[in-house]
Amino acid sequence: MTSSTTSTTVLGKSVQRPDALDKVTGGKHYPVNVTLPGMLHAKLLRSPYPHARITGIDASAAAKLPGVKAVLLPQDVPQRKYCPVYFVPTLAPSMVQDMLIMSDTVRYAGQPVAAVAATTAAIAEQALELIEVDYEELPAVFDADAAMAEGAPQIHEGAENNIAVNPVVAFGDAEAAFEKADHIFEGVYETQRVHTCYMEPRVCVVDSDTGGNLTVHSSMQHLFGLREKLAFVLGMPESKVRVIKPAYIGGGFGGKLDIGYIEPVAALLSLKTGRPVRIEQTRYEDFISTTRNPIRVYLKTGISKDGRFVARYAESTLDCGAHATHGAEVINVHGMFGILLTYPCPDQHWEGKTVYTNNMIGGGYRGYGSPQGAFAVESQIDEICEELGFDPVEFRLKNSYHQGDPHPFNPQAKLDSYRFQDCLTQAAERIGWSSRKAAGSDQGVKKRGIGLGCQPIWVSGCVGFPDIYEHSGAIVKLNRDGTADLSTAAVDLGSGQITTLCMIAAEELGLEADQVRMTYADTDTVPFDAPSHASRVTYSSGNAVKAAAGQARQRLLEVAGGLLEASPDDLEVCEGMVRVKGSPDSQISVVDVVTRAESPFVVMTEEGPQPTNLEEKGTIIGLSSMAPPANPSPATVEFVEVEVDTETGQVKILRVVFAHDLGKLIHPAGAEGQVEGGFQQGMGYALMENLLFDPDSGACLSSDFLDYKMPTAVEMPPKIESIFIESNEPTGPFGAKSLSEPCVTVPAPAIANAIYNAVGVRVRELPITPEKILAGLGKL
Amino acid sequence: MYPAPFHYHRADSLQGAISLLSELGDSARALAGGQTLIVWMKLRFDEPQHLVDLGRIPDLSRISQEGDEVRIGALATHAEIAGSAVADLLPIVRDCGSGIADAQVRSRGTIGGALGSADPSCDWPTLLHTLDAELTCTGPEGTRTIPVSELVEDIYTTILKPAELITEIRFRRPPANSGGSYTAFKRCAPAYPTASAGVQLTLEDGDVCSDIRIALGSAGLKTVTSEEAENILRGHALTEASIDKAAEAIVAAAEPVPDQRGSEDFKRAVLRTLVKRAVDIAVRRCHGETIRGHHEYV
Repeated sequence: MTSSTTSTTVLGKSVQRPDALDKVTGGKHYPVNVTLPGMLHAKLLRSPYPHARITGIDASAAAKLPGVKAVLLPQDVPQRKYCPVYFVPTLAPSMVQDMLIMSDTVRYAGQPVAAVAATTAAIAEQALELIEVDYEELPAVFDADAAMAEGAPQIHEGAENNIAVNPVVAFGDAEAAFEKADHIFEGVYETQRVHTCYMEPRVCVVDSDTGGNLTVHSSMQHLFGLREKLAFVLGMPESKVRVIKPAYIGGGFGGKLDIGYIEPVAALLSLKTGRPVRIEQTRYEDFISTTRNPIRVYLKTGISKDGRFVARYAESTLDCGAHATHGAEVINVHGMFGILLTYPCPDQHWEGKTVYTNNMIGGGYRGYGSPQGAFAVESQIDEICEELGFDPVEFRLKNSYHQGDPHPFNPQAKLDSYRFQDCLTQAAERIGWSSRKAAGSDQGVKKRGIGLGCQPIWVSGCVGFPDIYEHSGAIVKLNRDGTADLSTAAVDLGSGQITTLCMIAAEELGLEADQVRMTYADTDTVPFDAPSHASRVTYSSGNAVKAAAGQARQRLLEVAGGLLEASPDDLEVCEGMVRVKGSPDSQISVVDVVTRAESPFVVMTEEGPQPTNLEEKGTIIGLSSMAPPANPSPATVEFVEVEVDTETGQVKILRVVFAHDLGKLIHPAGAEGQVEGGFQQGMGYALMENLLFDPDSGACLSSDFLDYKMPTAVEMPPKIESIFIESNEPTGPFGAKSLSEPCVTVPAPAIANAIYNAVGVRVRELPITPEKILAGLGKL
Repeated sequence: MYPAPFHYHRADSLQGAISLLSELGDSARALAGGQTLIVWMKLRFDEPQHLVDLGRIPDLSRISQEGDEVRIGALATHAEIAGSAVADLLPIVRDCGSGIADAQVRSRGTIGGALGSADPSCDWPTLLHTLDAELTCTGPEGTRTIPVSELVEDIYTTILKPAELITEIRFRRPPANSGGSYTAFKRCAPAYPTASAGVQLTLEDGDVCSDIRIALGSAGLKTVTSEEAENILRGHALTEASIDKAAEAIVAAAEPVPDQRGSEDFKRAVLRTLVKRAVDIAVRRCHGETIRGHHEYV
């Protein structure tokens, strides 16, 4: 690594996002707007039954409907079992390969059983009604405990008691340690199924050529993952699949981190018809495509008289629905980062179970198992402090990791830039923690309260996790007009990855932020990159972009050195000029250097043709493809003040103070946006969001945003105060580490604890609806 | 989903609309703002073969006051009513109109459509019960007046005859010493209320309630009213205890249906609170206070 410095000229300024104007004027580059000549529209027929065997399908009437060009049935689809998750190799041993594009066994209501491509979406939808499917219904189970019980319907062959994975992690001897504890606390904490609510639906357009090559446009978080999964399920070589990078997508949040049914179905229909095929999911289809897994956590904690963690024991039961998908990995991240590694404790034991049911499948969602853990751990800390009379801030300070400690997940690394204590004390002061009142002591109908939630340990990528891709790459090319083009496979989900990466390249090249442009990429033209997920893009892709820009810069200095007759080591780039350090008169513009490098070797002069210098020739370009050096942990603390209406159970968020040590603040407005968006999702999780199901049929009852309530501008607090603590991470690009996911993780426990402080009601089951609060107040 | 195919007709006059609807019979629906009907068609709850668009019929969206009578044309939109001089005069009208759904719906949805849909979750029927409104209806057999309390036979079913249309809503302007309030508890702007309550009351000699009407929305299969509750308050000075008792009485008459928005018990608790809050605001408005009404979102 080149040595990092916190003295920067581009970083730390809230530049305008290059995609801002485009988006506010309609966002024509969203994948949902891709259209190709001759394009067909396809729709999926979905099973009304949660568990059934298909004994026959008659699609002859559908095929005859004018406008219908192709029908796809289970027998037309390759039967290769796969795991849809993008960020792992398809056959990764730590994951479960239990999905088929279409199968004659249905395992959840809404599973696709047939597809139709037609000249319009309306005709395709009409054709679906003409397909007759004979189902033999099978007994179904919708509860994880019931699914594990004896005699439960077997959902997948070989999964004993319907358990997909069953990790156990232990440190020390928890059982013996509980014997020594002065106090023991127990509780069960439950979370619900929620959707990321990305605004742009899952959508794809797949085209094929006469050679059987596929070109794929899709609203997704990972180019190379889509290429790998699509090639695998279709049994094609990867090189025959080209995935186009969208300029941006309309939100992902982990919800577009796995191949859907739509891409393989569109590909097969395109191969059948020779025409491009588009599939756009409805909001209902999106709701049953990906969710945050509900987890029930039994948490037991042993505490010493002086308020230290002595022993911890937890059991987590995750309902993954009909297929394991992300549930095989979410359970591990939940166990490690949601529970075991949050605070140091020598003796701990945790067991996780990812359980099949006939519910809809789960997926990825920002935080990836951590919010479910934080709700349990941070709620219980509050209960412990209330019962034993400890101050919740002091308690956490006493029980935390410190800067310089070995990293609890990667012990060969140290928590070099870890500033949890500063986050906690600064945010506590800002919210006015010292004037917090006793629980429920406010008078009147509306009562106020303050609470906090923390994410003490998190990731900046995936280094150290088994089977998970982590590396990144970038290409940086200088143009003759003095600008630079950056191309990378890192997808901008809407959270500003383009801006951040362009700023990093500009800083390294000595250019202004708006002189670097994020340009076209596809899987044929740029190096492999892991997905935009896991709080990793700033750190991991940022390091790769910095390395590529550094290589281009080095070449720029070499060519300039030849022209200035100076050593490249003595040169610097600033304000569009390459200068000899300390001799400002000896300089040449970047434009001239780049132009010279690409100009013909022999130039015509008045004296006739003259050769120039062969060594200076060639486009000034830098390339990187590399694993990130480490996986540094940030720390996150959030305080929330709420007002609870004791007659309606309504919770109003009055104030939010968020503190996070992010190493180096690259784009302040972008960072604040991450915190605000994260709070909105975390607040929805805490108070209102819930995908509801018919208990008899397993059918999802939430089909749109009238049924599924998420926070809007009306519910959001007027301002969210972000405190960013810069701590210079030595392995990060210009000292940066991650921010994204903890923004979503901390709101639920902070809000739950604030509600307790306001009205003295402890709710251990999300969402904390007005109804649960009124019930807790004894008013129902 | 896409609606099933249908034929679109545009009526140029009231008589034209009535003739067309008579001719087309059961397979036709009258289209006002489309707030309810278009959604139902897209969900395939209803698959009419013909739509008769009333939107271009002249003079059906006039809002006026003549003497102490207020008249609102059936095609007046929620936004037009909320922004009218009538709403300036009667804050309860603005409470209701400005809180319905979102700006797009308020610009298209009509008061006549809300009445005709006979949906107990719609806001206008609840409000119009507190004002004892009457409806002018015209059909093939001529014009008649129907009290708003008699319009709805059952959920989604009115007593209107085939091809009969609501053309105007009329009610007496409450006296100067009267105040009203309408409030709804909803999950989000475009959603129907979880529960709603309207109160219009008149105070004499300081705090003696000489008249009162209370109505609840989303509280059963039809708008809920209770003479018992009103009698508890009518003719007496209002006290916290009597208001509680009246709220209890009307909530006892309600039959809220448990659904995704909450259990029956929860809805009763919310209705109780809404009645008390609406009475409180109505009293303060009687006393001349300016209070901006709003809907509560949770």
